[in-house]
Amino acid sequence: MNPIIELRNVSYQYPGMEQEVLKNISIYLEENQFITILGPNGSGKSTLAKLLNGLLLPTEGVVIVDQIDTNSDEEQVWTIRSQVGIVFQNPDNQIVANTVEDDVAFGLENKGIEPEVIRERVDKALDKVGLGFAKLYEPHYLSGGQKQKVAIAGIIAMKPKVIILDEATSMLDPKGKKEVLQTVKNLSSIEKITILHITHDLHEAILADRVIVLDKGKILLDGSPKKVFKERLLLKHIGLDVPLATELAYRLKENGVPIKEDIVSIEEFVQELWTYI
Amino acid sequence: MDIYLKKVSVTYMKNTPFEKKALDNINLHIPKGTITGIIGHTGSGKSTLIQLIAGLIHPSTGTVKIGEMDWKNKKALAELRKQVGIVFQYPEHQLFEETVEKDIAFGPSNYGFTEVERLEAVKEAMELVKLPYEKFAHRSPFELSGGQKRRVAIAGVIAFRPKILILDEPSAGLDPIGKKDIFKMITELHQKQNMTTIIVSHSMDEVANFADNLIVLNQGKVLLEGTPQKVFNRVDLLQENNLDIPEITKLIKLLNQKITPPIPLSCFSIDELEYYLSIRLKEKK
Repeated sequence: MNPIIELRNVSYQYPGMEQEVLKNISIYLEENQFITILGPNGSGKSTLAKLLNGLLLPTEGVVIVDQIDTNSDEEQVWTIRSQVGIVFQNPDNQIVANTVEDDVAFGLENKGIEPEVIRERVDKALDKVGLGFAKLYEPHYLSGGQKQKVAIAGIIAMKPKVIILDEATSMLDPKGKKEVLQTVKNLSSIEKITILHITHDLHEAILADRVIVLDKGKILLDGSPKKVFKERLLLKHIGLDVPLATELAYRLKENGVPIKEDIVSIEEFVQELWTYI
Repeated sequence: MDIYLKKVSVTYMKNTPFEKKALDNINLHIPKGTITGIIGHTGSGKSTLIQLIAGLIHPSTGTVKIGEMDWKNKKALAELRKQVGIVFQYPEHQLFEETVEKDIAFGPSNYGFTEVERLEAVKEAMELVKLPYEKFAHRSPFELSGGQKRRVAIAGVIAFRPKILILDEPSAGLDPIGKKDIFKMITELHQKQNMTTIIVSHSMDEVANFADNLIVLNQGKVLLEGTPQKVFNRVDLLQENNLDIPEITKLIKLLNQKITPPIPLSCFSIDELEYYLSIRLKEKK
């Protein structure tokens, strides 16, 4: 597999701050994967997201997106920006237009794309996030989950290779969270877009192909959800936790129940346990 | 202080094309000294409800009473404001002073505390939110971590010693341990200060564990009301209305399809569930 994003020995330090936020990080992200980045508050997750589309440039090391260095000339950076879109945390801070379709068209218009092409791409993008009915709505009247889906549609219209959700579900209610996650799961499996989901939510992390855990600017763990959540004590130590099913399975095993160690979902837990009771 | 809502409706932008009934003929009694969780998705009327209780808006029809006092009674207004404290969502965005101490002292100063009383109130509030005065009082609130900033903001509200404390999504955006810590802190605060506490939350696992009573709102009406046991027993009704249930309840529900007798759906803590499971496992042996 080709890496869609590669970080080589990347460090980042905000101007005027004493400490580095990211310390010598190297990661390969493969195409078409659904990746979750977990980390406690202040671990460097959001800084990492901003490095991936050239919003920030590394103080040391290089970030390469689809074979382009983010630290190259301006034109190249724009190519990267249209390939890596970020959905931010607050749904109200990223809406720019008076109608849903104008909002989705914003990025395309800035790139000077033909109106007919814009029309077609906006329609398709809104259909893909399930908001085809809301083209002429005022974004203001949509729910939080729907607003985030408008932001996602704006990114899809640019035909990106990567979508980054920077805690994009954390301000949503359970229904909104589900809607947004289902949308990006579909984009990942049908459109083959690489998804990078930054979150605190352990139950959302289970959905990923790969989980990368950051702590104090370094990569602490990296692997499948099953592999990562085995490190129960380590995760708790840095302010994270493990899913309910993992915790229960661990406790029962400690009490001598011969249950598998790498359980992460409640379905799996019930399947494993019910024969014993 | 007990809180009573009688036949309360709130209509926004009345007589315009955007008219919206945010609350529709609500009757509620929130007993003093309890922790009440308010759940429901965006647009269900949660924010309107807490703004009514805090006297920030008035009902279009019906009455809201705090103890014996009515928010509509202008004479009682000044007194009521001191009795009800509200901590908004992401309260750390409202920090503004140069030092933690000054920020927390803002409320007490406005309510006419003397300098001595103010210092005492600030110290007490900081102790309650677990930010030792000596260490934090003279620091800038903007240098603190997300969780610490939130504690400063909460301290700023409890410093004027309200009898009723309303918190809107107090754990939003915090990491898992941060969430646990803040709920633990709120529970301790509730007990020490003998307050009536109202928490709006999307986190079903948290409210199930910490609240005495829950109010579930849906489209401006009370869908369910009662203890967490009672409310989360109505799994089907909740799911029909697209509301979530605690992860632990999902697990027990799934397990109960396969085992008899079932594990009670009133079990909300992992320790309790572990206990039930280990008993079953022993019996089986």
